Amino acid sequence: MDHKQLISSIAERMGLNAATVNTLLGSLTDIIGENCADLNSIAVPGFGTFSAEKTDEYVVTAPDGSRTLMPPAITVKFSPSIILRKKL
Amino acid sequence: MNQKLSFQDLASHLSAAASQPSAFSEEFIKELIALVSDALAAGESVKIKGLGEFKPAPGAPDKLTFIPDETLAEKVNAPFSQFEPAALNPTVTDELLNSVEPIDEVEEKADVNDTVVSVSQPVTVTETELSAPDSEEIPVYIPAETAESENETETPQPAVADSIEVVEVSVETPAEIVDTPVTPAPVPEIIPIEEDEEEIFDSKESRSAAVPPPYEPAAASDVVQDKSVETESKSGGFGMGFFVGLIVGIAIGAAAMFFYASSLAPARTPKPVPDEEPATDDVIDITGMPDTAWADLDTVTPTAAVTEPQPAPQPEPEPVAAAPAAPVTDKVKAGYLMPKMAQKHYGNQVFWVYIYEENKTKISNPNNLTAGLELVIPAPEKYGIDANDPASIARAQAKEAEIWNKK
Repeated sequence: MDHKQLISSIAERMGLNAATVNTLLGSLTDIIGENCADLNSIAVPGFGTFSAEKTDEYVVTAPDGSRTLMPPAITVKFSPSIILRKKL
Repeated sequence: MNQKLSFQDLASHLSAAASQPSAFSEEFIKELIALVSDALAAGESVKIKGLGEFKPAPGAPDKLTFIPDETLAEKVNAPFSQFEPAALNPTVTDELLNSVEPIDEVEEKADVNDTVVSVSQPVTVTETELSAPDSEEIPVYIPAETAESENETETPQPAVADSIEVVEVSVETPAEIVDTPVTPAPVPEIIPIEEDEEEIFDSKESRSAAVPPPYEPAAASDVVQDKSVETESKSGGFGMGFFVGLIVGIAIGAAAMFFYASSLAPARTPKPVPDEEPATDDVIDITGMPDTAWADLDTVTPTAAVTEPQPAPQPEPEPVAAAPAAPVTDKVKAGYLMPKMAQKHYGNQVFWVYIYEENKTKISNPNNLTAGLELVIPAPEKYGIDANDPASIARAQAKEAEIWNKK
């Protein structure tokens, strides 16, 4: 299901127009993104948890011996809740 | 920052953003979840623009994989997005890298605005470096301050950027990295005594600057200053400080012993020997005298009687021979002068020169002696006087000639 399908489905279910749903979804996404950038986690019951995981810098050694310093990074992780996992 | 938002929080955020009542937001979210879950349960992957793609993965323990959207990933990784993997110079050692604490400043963003105290040491340094925000000195790793446009992340952004500067200063360019290994090196050089010990103890630093030996004040201060850029080095400082303390303790002990010994020294002199108790065990015998010398004390009478000094059976040092034996004296009388005395005491008149020698302070003119003058008759050993020895006589005669020549 792609984005458009999702929007139309929600719009249909809630009796809203697609534009509104699109905006709402966009806002929701922004909220998740901002919180993850702050290293906060968001727990959605029945669905899962969005969290941000920070990885420290580390050194990668190539086979020829040259070493590269990989920079630290923050990535978004999603962990499905048990309910969702049971469904799948 | 490390907060866990609940469903209510999320709904309220959404309500605020969309200017909708919270009930509406909650319903919206629930609908969204239901739709996504159903699609996933049906084996479909769901892609949400701006968020990411949810794919069912039967093999994975989570049964689901989530791949964040590119824009979301970049937004979240904004503090580090400027960094690229950097090839490391061979001069950068693991030890060097491990000496730098991993970055946790991202989590401390919120605190930077409030207090500086809670921020770890490296950040304080960068605050001074911020006065020159140009990234010229520090290539690659300095994120542009104006990179991000999000209002809400703008405030914490510079703080995070600040903290990033710190680590990169200490880790990044080969030139700067080479500097840091140099600073521990002067420490062993300045202390030649401790060179052997450096192999045992970690020469990393003498963090225990509380015990700086007199010969390494410069090294200790240098090490301490460089630590303001880096963070703590761990276990090496203990060993170094322990050894330094040991050296100081030994030095103090030696000084104490020296003073104690010197306080005993004045009591040990060779002169007032009769008053001393030679039998004392801890008294150091510095005279080097044979023990039998002291036995003569008992045989010699201290009175000023004119007695013939008995020829000593063993060779004795002159001062000892003179001191224990009672000084032999003779009195000048009319017609009884030095030659006659010499004849009497030594057996030959020629030895008067030694009597004169002995009493030079009293006699200004050997030809003119005052009656009643008491002269000390030296022991024969003192000047090697032997009436039976032609050499001794010759010596005395030579001496006599000398005296007359002076006159």
